[in-house]
Amino acid sequence: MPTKPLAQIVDCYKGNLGKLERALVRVGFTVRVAGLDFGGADIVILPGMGSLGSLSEAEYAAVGSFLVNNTSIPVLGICAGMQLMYAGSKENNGYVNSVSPVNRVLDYLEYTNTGQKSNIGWRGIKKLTGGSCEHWEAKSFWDKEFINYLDDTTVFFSHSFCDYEILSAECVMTSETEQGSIVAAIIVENNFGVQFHPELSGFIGLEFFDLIRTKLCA
Amino acid sequence: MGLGRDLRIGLRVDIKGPRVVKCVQLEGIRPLSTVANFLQQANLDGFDEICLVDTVASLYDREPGYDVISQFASAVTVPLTVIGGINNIEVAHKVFESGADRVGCCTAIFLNADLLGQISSCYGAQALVPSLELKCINHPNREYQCTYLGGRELSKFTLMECLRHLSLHCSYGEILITSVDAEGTGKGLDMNILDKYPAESSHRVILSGGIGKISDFGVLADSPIVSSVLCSQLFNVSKVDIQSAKDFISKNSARCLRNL
Repeated sequence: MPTKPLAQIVDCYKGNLGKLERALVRVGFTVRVAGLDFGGADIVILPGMGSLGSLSEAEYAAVGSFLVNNTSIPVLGICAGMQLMYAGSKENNGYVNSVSPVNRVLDYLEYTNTGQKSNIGWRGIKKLTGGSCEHWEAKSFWDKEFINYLDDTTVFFSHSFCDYEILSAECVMTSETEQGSIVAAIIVENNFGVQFHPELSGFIGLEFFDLIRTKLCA
Repeated sequence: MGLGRDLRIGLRVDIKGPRVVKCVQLEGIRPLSTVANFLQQANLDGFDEICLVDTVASLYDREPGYDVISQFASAVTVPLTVIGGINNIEVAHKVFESGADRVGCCTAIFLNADLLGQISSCYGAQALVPSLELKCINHPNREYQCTYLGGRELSKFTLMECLRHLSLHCSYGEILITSVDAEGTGKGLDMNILDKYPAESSHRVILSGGIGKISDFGVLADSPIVSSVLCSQLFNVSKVDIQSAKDFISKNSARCLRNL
Protein backbone atom coordinates (compact mmCIF):
# COMPACT_ATOMS: atom_id res chain seq x y z
CA MET A 1 0.00 0.00 0.00
CA PRO A 2 1.35 3.47 -0.83
CA THR A 3 2.43 5.78 1.98
CA LYS A 4 2.00 8.82 -0.24
CA PRO A 5 -0.67 7.88 -2.76
CA LEU A 6 -0.40 9.35 -6.24
CA ALA A 7 -3.30 11.63 -7.09
CA GLN A 8 -3.57 12.52 -10.75
CA ILE A 9 -5.28 15.82 -11.43
CA VAL A 10 -6.62 15.77 -14.97
CA ASP A 11 -5.57 18.87 -16.84
CA CYS A 12 -8.66 18.99 -19.04
CA TYR A 13 -9.66 22.64 -19.11
CA LYS A 14 -8.32 26.04 -18.16
CA GLY A 15 -8.55 26.67 -14.45
CA ASN A 16 -6.75 27.05 -11.17
CA LEU A 17 -5.31 23.65 -10.40
CA GLY A 18 -2.78 25.04 -7.92
CA LYS A 19 -5.15 25.33 -4.96
CA LEU A 20 -6.25 21.72 -5.38
CA GLU A 21 -2.68 20.52 -5.83
CA ARG A 22 -1.50 22.35 -2.70
CA ALA A 23 -4.37 20.97 -0.60
CA LEU A 24 -3.61 17.41 -1.68
CA VAL A 25 0.11 17.78 -1.01
CA ARG A 26 -0.66 19.31 2.37
CA VAL A 27 -2.45 16.15 3.53
CA GLY A 28 0.20 13.80 2.15
CA PHE A 29 -0.55 13.00 -1.48
CA THR A 30 1.96 12.92 -4.28
CA VAL A 31 0.37 14.89 -7.11
CA ARG A 32 0.71 14.59 -10.87
CA VAL A 33 -1.03 16.97 -13.26
CA ALA A 34 -1.51 15.27 -16.63
CA GLY A 35 -3.98 14.29 -19.34
CA LEU A 36 -6.08 11.18 -19.69
CA ASP A 37 -3.27 8.63 -19.24
CA PHE A 38 -3.72 7.38 -15.69
CA GLY A 39 -0.93 4.81 -15.44
CA GLY A 40 0.23 4.36 -11.85
CA ALA A 41 -2.28 6.74 -10.32
CA ASP A 42 -4.00 5.71 -7.08
CA ILE A 43 -6.82 8.18 -7.56
CA VAL A 44 -7.94 10.39 -10.44
CA ILE A 45 -9.29 13.84 -9.74
CA LEU A 46 -11.32 15.83 -12.25
CA PRO A 47 -10.78 19.40 -11.06
CA GLY A 48 -13.43 21.97 -10.40
CA MET A 49 -12.24 25.30 -11.62
CA GLY A 50 -13.13 25.81 -15.25
CA SER A 51 -15.89 25.78 -17.79
CA LEU A 52 -17.23 22.72 -19.58
CA GLY A 53 -17.79 25.07 -22.51
CA SER A 54 -14.04 25.14 -23.09
CA LEU A 55 -13.90 21.35 -23.68
CA SER A 56 -13.99 19.92 -27.19
CA GLU A 57 -16.55 17.21 -27.97
CA ALA A 58 -13.71 14.70 -28.34
CA GLU A 59 -12.33 15.55 -24.90
CA TYR A 60 -15.79 15.33 -23.34
CA ALA A 61 -16.40 11.94 -24.98
CA ALA A 62 -12.98 10.63 -23.90
CA VAL A 63 -13.66 11.46 -20.25
CA GLY A 64 -17.15 9.91 -20.42
CA SER A 65 -15.79 6.75 -21.93
CA PHE A 66 -13.07 6.45 -19.28
CA LEU A 67 -15.53 6.98 -16.42
CA VAL A 68 -17.93 4.33 -17.68
CA ASN A 69 -15.24 1.74 -18.41
CA ASN A 70 -13.03 2.39 -15.37
CA THR A 71 -13.29 -0.44 -12.89
CA SER A 72 -10.06 0.00 -10.95
CA ILE A 73 -9.22 3.58 -9.99
CA PRO A 74 -11.36 5.73 -7.68
CA VAL A 75 -12.32 8.99 -9.37
CA LEU A 76 -13.24 12.21 -7.58
CA GLY A 77 -14.96 14.88 -9.65
CA ILE A 78 -15.09 18.37 -8.15
CA CYS A 79 -17.71 20.90 -9.30
CA ALA A 80 -17.16 21.05 -13.08
CA GLY A 81 -15.40 17.70 -12.63
CA MET A 82 -18.59 16.23 -11.16
CA GLN A 83 -20.50 17.73 -14.08
CA LEU A 84 -18.22 15.81 -16.46
CA MET A 85 -19.83 12.65 -15.09
CA TYR A 86 -23.11 13.71 -16.71
CA ALA A 87 -24.14 13.17 -20.32
CA GLY A 88 -24.05 16.88 -20.97
CA SER A 89 -24.60 20.40 -19.73
CA LYS A 90 -26.15 23.50 -21.19
CA GLU A 91 -22.75 25.05 -20.50
CA ASN A 92 -21.24 22.74 -23.11
CA ASN A 93 -23.13 24.14 -26.09
CA GLY A 94 -25.70 21.34 -26.14
CA TYR A 95 -23.22 18.49 -26.70
CA VAL A 96 -24.43 15.20 -25.18
CA ASN A 97 -22.15 12.20 -24.54
CA SER A 98 -23.39 8.86 -25.76
CA VAL A 99 -21.77 7.14 -22.75
CA SER A 100 -21.51 8.67 -19.29
CA PRO A 101 -22.05 7.55 -15.69
CA VAL A 102 -25.12 9.77 -15.30
CA ASN A 103 -27.52 9.92 -18.20
CA ARG A 104 -28.84 13.43 -17.65
CA VAL A 105 -28.09 16.94 -18.91
CA LEU A 106 -27.32 19.67 -16.42
CA ASP A 107 -29.39 22.82 -16.51
CA TYR A 108 -28.90 26.42 -15.54
CA LEU A 109 -29.33 27.02 -11.83
CA GLU A 110 -31.70 29.76 -12.95
CA TYR A 111 -31.84 31.92 -16.03
CA THR A 112 -33.82 35.15 -15.85
CA ASN A 113 -34.16 38.24 -18.01
CA THR A 114 -31.39 39.80 -15.90
CA GLY A 115 -28.96 36.97 -16.61
CA GLN A 116 -27.94 33.62 -15.21
CA LYS A 117 -27.70 33.08 -11.49
CA SER A 118 -24.78 31.50 -9.70
CA ASN A 119 -24.69 29.68 -6.39
CA ILE A 120 -21.64 31.14 -4.67
CA GLY A 121 -20.94 30.84 -0.98
CA TRP A 122 -20.77 28.57 2.04
CA ARG A 123 -23.68 26.14 2.17
CA GLY A 124 -24.69 23.23 4.34
CA ILE A 125 -24.78 19.74 2.83
CA LYS A 126 -26.71 16.72 4.04
CA LYS A 127 -26.68 13.06 3.16
CA LEU A 128 -29.75 11.76 1.41
CA THR A 129 -31.30 9.23 3.71
CA GLY A 130 -33.28 6.36 2.27
CA GLY A 131 -33.95 6.31 -1.46
CA SER A 132 -32.17 4.11 -3.91
CA CYS A 133 -28.63 5.31 -3.25
CA GLU A 134 -27.66 2.46 -0.96
CA HIS A 135 -26.28 0.15 -3.64
CA TRP A 136 -22.79 1.63 -3.91
CA GLU A 137 -21.64 0.54 -0.49
CA ALA A 138 -20.54 -3.01 -1.20
CA LYS A 139 -18.72 -2.52 -4.48
CA SER A 140 -16.96 0.82 -4.50
CA PHE A 141 -14.04 2.58 -2.84
CA TRP A 142 -16.51 5.32 -1.95
CA ASP A 143 -18.23 3.93 1.10
CA LYS A 144 -20.48 5.59 3.65
CA GLU A 145 -17.58 6.81 5.72
CA PHE A 146 -17.10 9.68 3.26
CA ILE A 147 -20.77 10.59 3.24
CA ASN A 148 -20.99 10.44 7.01
CA TYR A 149 -17.97 12.68 7.37
CA LEU A 150 -19.40 15.32 5.01
CA ASP A 151 -22.91 15.12 6.44
CA ASP A 152 -24.03 18.37 8.10
CA THR A 153 -20.88 20.28 7.23
CA THR A 154 -20.61 23.72 5.62
CA VAL A 155 -18.62 23.83 2.40
CA PHE A 156 -17.95 26.27 -0.42
CA PHE A 157 -19.98 26.20 -3.63
CA SER A 158 -19.29 28.20 -6.80
CA HIS A 159 -21.30 27.13 -9.85
CA SER A 160 -23.96 28.24 -12.32
CA PHE A 161 -25.26 24.86 -13.58
CA CYS A 162 -26.70 22.05 -11.48
CA ASP A 163 -28.70 18.84 -11.16
CA TYR A 164 -32.08 19.14 -9.47
CA GLU A 165 -32.81 15.37 -9.54
CA ILE A 166 -32.17 14.73 -5.86
CA LEU A 167 -34.24 11.53 -5.91
CA SER A 168 -32.14 9.97 -8.64
CA ALA A 169 -30.23 6.76 -8.00
CA GLU A 170 -26.86 8.56 -8.09
CA CYS A 171 -27.58 11.33 -5.60
CA VAL A 172 -26.11 10.77 -2.12
CA MET A 173 -25.97 14.32 -0.72
CA THR A 174 -28.07 17.44 -1.21
CA SER A 175 -27.83 21.15 -0.56
CA GLU A 176 -30.37 23.95 -0.39
CA THR A 177 -30.17 26.95 -2.72
CA GLU A 178 -32.48 29.88 -3.35
CA GLN A 179 -33.76 27.89 -6.35
CA GLY A 180 -34.47 24.71 -4.37
CA SER A 181 -32.69 21.51 -3.40
CA ILE A 182 -29.81 20.49 -5.63
CA VAL A 183 -27.60 17.44 -5.90
CA ALA A 184 -24.46 18.10 -3.83
CA ALA A 185 -22.78 14.73 -4.36
CA ILE A 186 -23.21 11.65 -6.55
CA ILE A 187 -21.71 8.18 -6.52
CA VAL A 188 -21.70 5.88 -9.53
CA GLU A 189 -19.46 2.85 -9.09
CA ASN A 190 -15.89 4.19 -8.73
CA ASN A 191 -16.90 7.76 -9.47
CA PHE A 192 -17.63 10.21 -6.67
CA GLY A 193 -18.74 13.67 -7.76
CA VAL A 194 -19.09 16.64 -5.44
CA GLN A 195 -20.65 19.92 -6.56
CA PHE A 196 -18.76 21.89 -3.91
CA HIS A 197 -15.05 22.67 -3.66
CA PRO A 198 -13.23 20.71 -0.92
CA GLU A 199 -10.02 22.59 -1.78
CA LEU A 200 -11.74 25.89 -0.88
CA SER A 201 -13.62 24.64 2.15
CA GLY A 202 -11.04 25.16 4.87
CA PHE A 203 -10.29 22.34 7.30
CA ILE A 204 -13.43 20.40 6.28
CA GLY A 205 -12.01 19.98 2.81
CA LEU A 206 -8.54 19.12 4.06
CA GLU A 207 -9.93 16.45 6.38
CA PHE A 208 -12.00 15.04 3.53
CA PHE A 209 -8.87 14.72 1.40
CA ASP A 210 -7.04 13.17 4.34
CA LEU A 211 -9.82 10.62 4.75
CA ILE A 212 -9.33 9.62 1.12
CA ARG A 213 -5.56 9.38 1.59
CA THR A 214 -5.96 7.28 4.72
CA LYS A 215 -8.26 4.81 2.97
CA LEU A 216 -5.94 4.56 -0.04
CA CYS A 217 -3.10 3.72 2.35
CA ALA A 218 -5.07 1.13 4.32
CA MET B 1 -26.98 28.34 6.09
CA GLY B 2 -30.11 30.45 5.51
CA LEU B 3 -31.13 30.99 1.92
CA GLY B 4 -30.56 34.53 0.76
CA ARG B 5 -29.52 35.42 4.29
CA ASP B 6 -26.03 34.02 4.15
CA LEU B 7 -23.24 36.53 4.55
CA ARG B 8 -19.54 36.10 4.05
CA ILE B 9 -16.94 38.19 5.82
CA GLY B 10 -13.96 38.65 3.56
CA LEU B 11 -10.54 40.15 4.06
CA ARG B 12 -9.47 42.72 1.49
CA VAL B 13 -5.70 42.91 1.14
CA ASP B 14 -4.34 45.81 -0.90
CA ILE B 15 -0.96 45.14 -2.48
CA LYS B 16 1.66 47.35 -4.02
CA GLY B 17 4.62 45.31 -5.24
CA PRO B 18 5.83 43.06 -2.39
CA ARG B 19 4.04 45.10 0.29
CA VAL B 20 0.64 45.04 1.91
CA VAL B 21 -0.63 48.61 1.91
CA LYS B 22 -3.61 50.61 3.07
CA CYS B 23 -5.31 53.33 1.06
CA VAL B 24 -7.82 56.01 1.95
CA GLN B 25 -10.37 56.57 -0.82
CA LEU B 26 -8.03 54.52 -3.03
CA GLU B 27 -5.29 57.13 -2.64
CA GLY B 28 -2.49 57.89 -0.18
CA ILE B 29 -1.05 54.41 -0.24
CA ARG B 30 0.56 53.59 3.13
CA PRO B 31 2.72 50.48 3.60
CA LEU B 32 1.63 48.14 6.41
CA SER B 33 4.06 45.25 6.10
CA THR B 34 5.77 42.94 3.67
CA VAL B 35 3.69 40.16 2.19
CA ALA B 36 5.86 37.58 3.95
CA ASN B 37 5.36 39.17 7.38
CA PHE B 38 1.65 39.65 6.74
CA LEU B 39 1.20 35.97 5.86
CA GLN B 40 3.12 34.88 8.95
CA GLN B 41 0.93 36.92 11.28
CA ALA B 42 -2.57 36.74 9.78
CA ASN B 43 -5.04 33.91 10.40
CA LEU B 44 -6.41 33.95 6.86
CA ASP B 45 -8.46 30.75 7.03
CA GLY B 46 -10.71 32.35 9.63
CA PHE B 47 -12.15 34.56 6.88
CA ASP B 48 -14.76 33.34 4.43
CA GLU B 49 -12.78 34.60 1.47
CA ILE B 50 -9.72 36.66 0.64
CA CYS B 51 -9.67 39.43 -1.94
CA LEU B 52 -6.23 40.49 -3.13
CA VAL B 53 -6.17 43.88 -4.84
CA ASP B 54 -3.11 45.17 -6.70
CA THR B 55 -3.77 48.86 -6.16
CA VAL B 56 -1.59 50.27 -8.92
CA ALA B 57 -1.12 47.54 -11.55
CA SER B 58 -3.61 49.04 -14.00
CA LEU B 59 -2.54 52.59 -13.24
CA TYR B 60 1.09 51.78 -14.02
CA ASP B 61 0.09 49.41 -16.84
CA ARG B 62 1.98 46.49 -15.32
CA GLU B 63 1.10 42.85 -14.79
CA PRO B 64 -0.07 41.59 -11.39
CA GLY B 65 2.52 40.20 -8.97
CA TYR B 66 2.23 36.50 -9.73
CA ASP B 67 4.63 35.56 -6.92
CA VAL B 68 2.49 37.40 -4.40
CA ILE B 69 -0.67 35.69 -5.68
CA SER B 70 1.08 32.35 -5.39
CA GLN B 71 2.19 33.08 -1.82
CA PHE B 72 -1.38 33.90 -0.81
CA ALA B 73 -2.78 30.87 -2.64
CA SER B 74 -0.36 28.65 -0.74
CA ALA B 75 -1.37 30.16 2.57
CA VAL B 76 -5.17 29.88 2.34
CA THR B 77 -7.76 27.15 1.96
CA VAL B 78 -10.64 29.56 1.37
CA PRO B 79 -11.53 31.24 -1.95
CA LEU B 80 -9.04 33.78 -3.28
CA THR B 81 -10.17 36.56 -5.62
CA VAL B 82 -7.49 38.59 -7.39
CA ILE B 83 -8.08 42.06 -8.82
CA GLY B 84 -5.77 44.50 -10.57
CA GLY B 85 -3.80 44.57 -13.79
CA ILE B 86 -5.83 41.94 -15.66
CA ASN B 87 -5.97 43.55 -19.07
CA ASN B 88 -5.87 40.59 -21.47
CA ILE B 89 -6.73 36.91 -21.44
CA GLU B 90 -3.11 35.79 -21.20
CA VAL B 91 -2.70 37.73 -17.97
CA ALA B 92 -5.95 36.20 -16.69
CA HIS B 93 -4.59 32.71 -17.46
CA LYS B 94 -1.43 33.49 -15.48
CA VAL B 95 -3.42 34.84 -12.54
CA PHE B 96 -5.51 31.65 -12.38
CA GLU B 97 -2.40 29.51 -12.77
CA SER B 98 -0.81 31.42 -9.88
CA GLY B 99 -3.65 30.36 -7.61
CA ALA B 100 -6.60 32.73 -8.00
CA ASP B 101 -10.00 31.09 -7.72
CA ARG B 102 -11.77 34.10 -9.17
CA VAL B 103 -10.54 37.18 -10.97
CA GLY B 104 -11.92 40.68 -10.76
CA CYS B 105 -11.75 43.29 -13.49
CA CYS B 106 -12.32 47.00 -13.07
CA THR B 107 -10.41 49.05 -15.65
CA ALA B 108 -11.05 46.43 -18.36
CA ILE B 109 -14.80 47.02 -18.00
CA PHE B 110 -14.26 50.42 -19.59
CA LEU B 111 -11.22 49.88 -21.81
CA ASN B 112 -11.58 46.25 -22.96
CA ALA B 113 -15.01 44.87 -22.04
CA ASP B 114 -14.67 41.91 -24.40
CA LEU B 115 -12.05 40.54 -22.03
CA LEU B 116 -14.72 39.89 -19.42
CA GLY B 117 -16.67 37.77 -21.92
CA GLN B 118 -13.52 35.83 -22.74
CA ILE B 119 -12.84 35.11 -19.06
CA SER B 120 -16.39 33.96 -18.32
CA SER B 121 -16.45 31.73 -21.43
CA CYS B 122 -13.16 30.14 -20.52
CA TYR B 123 -13.50 29.79 -16.74
CA GLY B 124 -17.24 30.00 -16.11
CA ALA B 125 -19.41 32.92 -15.03
CA GLN B 126 -18.80 32.21 -11.35
CA ALA B 127 -15.07 32.79 -11.78
CA LEU B 128 -15.52 36.40 -12.94
CA VAL B 129 -16.14 39.32 -10.56
CA PRO B 130 -16.69 42.69 -12.23
CA SER B 131 -15.33 45.27 -9.82
CA LEU B 132 -17.05 48.65 -9.74
CA GLU B 133 -15.38 51.52 -7.88
CA LEU B 134 -18.09 54.11 -7.42
CA LYS B 135 -17.81 57.75 -6.54
CA CYS B 136 -20.72 59.92 -5.45
CA ILE B 137 -20.68 62.84 -7.92
CA ASN B 138 -23.96 64.60 -7.29
CA HIS B 139 -24.50 64.85 -3.57
CA PRO B 140 -28.10 66.09 -3.39
CA ASN B 141 -29.28 63.31 -5.74
CA ARG B 142 -26.56 60.86 -4.74
CA GLU B 143 -25.69 59.72 -8.26
CA TYR B 144 -22.82 57.27 -8.42
CA GLN B 145 -20.34 57.29 -11.26
CA CYS B 146 -17.97 54.41 -12.04
CA THR B 147 -14.26 55.10 -11.87
CA TYR B 148 -11.27 53.12 -13.08
CA LEU B 149 -7.47 53.12 -12.89
CA GLY B 150 -7.60 52.86 -9.12
CA GLY B 151 -10.30 55.50 -8.75
CA ARG B 152 -8.28 58.12 -10.68
CA GLU B 153 -10.40 58.27 -13.84
CA LEU B 154 -14.11 58.94 -14.01
CA SER B 155 -15.92 56.77 -16.58
CA LYS B 156 -18.99 57.88 -18.50
CA PHE B 157 -21.15 55.24 -16.76
CA THR B 158 -23.40 55.52 -13.76
CA LEU B 159 -23.98 52.31 -11.79
CA MET B 160 -27.10 51.36 -13.80
CA GLU B 161 -25.46 52.19 -17.11
CA CYS B 162 -22.49 50.07 -16.18
CA LEU B 163 -24.71 47.10 -15.26
CA ARG B 164 -26.35 47.36 -18.70
CA HIS B 165 -22.91 47.59 -20.31
CA LEU B 166 -21.81 44.44 -18.47
CA SER B 167 -24.93 42.52 -19.49
CA LEU B 168 -23.98 43.07 -23.13
CA HIS B 169 -20.49 41.68 -22.71
CA CYS B 170 -20.36 38.85 -20.19
CA SER B 171 -21.94 36.50 -17.70
CA TYR B 172 -20.73 36.74 -14.15
CA GLY B 173 -21.58 35.41 -10.71
CA GLU B 174 -21.29 38.21 -8.20
CA ILE B 175 -20.32 41.86 -8.54
CA LEU B 176 -17.93 43.78 -6.29
CA ILE B 177 -18.96 47.32 -5.43
CA THR B 178 -16.45 49.54 -3.68
CA SER B 179 -17.40 52.96 -2.42
CA VAL B 180 -14.43 55.18 -3.25
CA ASP B 181 -15.74 57.82 -0.84
CA ALA B 182 -16.02 55.41 2.09
CA GLU B 183 -13.00 53.20 1.37
CA GLY B 184 -10.35 53.40 4.08
CA THR B 185 -12.21 56.02 6.12
CA GLY B 186 -13.65 53.65 8.70
CA LYS B 187 -16.85 55.70 8.73
CA GLY B 188 -19.16 52.85 7.85
CA LEU B 189 -20.53 51.30 4.66
CA ASP B 190 -22.17 53.59 2.10
CA MET B 191 -25.52 51.79 1.94
CA ASN B 192 -26.97 54.50 -0.35
CA ILE B 193 -25.20 52.76 -3.22
CA LEU B 194 -27.53 49.80 -2.80
CA ASP B 195 -30.53 52.08 -3.30
CA LYS B 196 -29.29 52.48 -6.87
CA TYR B 197 -28.77 48.74 -7.35
CA PRO B 198 -31.69 46.83 -8.96
CA ALA B 199 -33.33 44.58 -6.40
CA GLU B 200 -34.34 42.11 -9.13
CA SER B 201 -30.74 41.60 -10.27
CA SER B 202 -29.48 38.05 -10.69
CA HIS B 203 -26.15 39.05 -9.21
CA ARG B 204 -25.57 39.46 -5.52
CA VAL B 205 -23.17 42.11 -4.32
CA ILE B 206 -19.82 41.95 -2.59
CA LEU B 207 -19.67 45.28 -0.78
CA SER B 208 -16.41 46.97 0.13
CA GLY B 209 -15.33 50.18 1.76
CA GLY B 210 -15.97 51.88 5.05
CA ILE B 211 -16.16 49.24 7.79
CA GLY B 212 -14.15 50.71 10.67
CA LYS B 213 -15.70 49.13 13.73
CA ILE B 214 -17.67 46.01 14.48
CA SER B 215 -20.98 47.83 14.90
CA ASP B 216 -20.73 48.96 11.25
CA PHE B 217 -21.89 45.46 10.26
CA GLY B 218 -25.29 46.25 11.77
CA VAL B 219 -26.59 47.88 8.57
CA LEU B 220 -26.29 44.57 6.71
CA ALA B 221 -29.10 42.95 8.69
CA ASP B 222 -31.72 43.82 6.06
CA SER B 223 -29.68 43.68 2.85
CA PRO B 224 -29.96 40.16 1.47
CA ILE B 225 -28.61 41.37 -1.90
CA VAL B 226 -25.23 41.67 -0.16
CA SER B 227 -23.61 38.24 -0.18
CA SER B 228 -20.27 39.32 1.19
CA VAL B 229 -18.58 42.30 2.77
CA LEU B 230 -14.88 42.97 2.40
CA CYS B 231 -12.96 44.65 5.18
CA SER B 232 -9.43 45.94 5.25
CA GLN B 233 -9.13 48.71 7.84
CA LEU B 234 -10.94 46.70 10.54
CA PHE B 235 -8.74 43.63 10.34
CA ASN B 236 -5.47 44.88 8.85
CA VAL B 237 -5.14 48.16 10.76
CA SER B 238 -7.40 47.94 13.82
CA LYS B 239 -6.51 44.24 14.20
CA VAL B 240 -10.02 43.24 15.23
CA ASP B 241 -10.52 39.48 15.52
CA ILE B 242 -12.75 37.93 12.82
CA GLN B 243 -14.64 35.86 15.38
CA SER B 244 -15.62 39.02 17.29
CA ALA B 245 -17.11 40.43 14.10
CA LYS B 246 -19.04 37.22 13.43
CA ASP B 247 -20.30 37.10 17.02
CA PHE B 248 -21.64 40.66 16.67
CA ILE B 249 -23.44 39.87 13.40
CA SER B 250 -24.93 36.69 14.83
CA LYS B 251 -26.28 38.52 17.86
CA ASN B 252 -27.64 41.50 15.96
CA SER B 253 -29.11 40.08 12.76
CA ALA B 254 -30.62 36.99 11.21
CA ARG B 255 -27.74 36.75 8.71
CA CYS B 256 -26.25 33.27 8.54
CA LEU B 257 -22.52 32.97 8.87
CA ARG B 258 -20.08 30.15 8.35
CA ASN B 259 -19.09 28.84 11.75
CA LEU B 260 -15.47 27.94 12.28
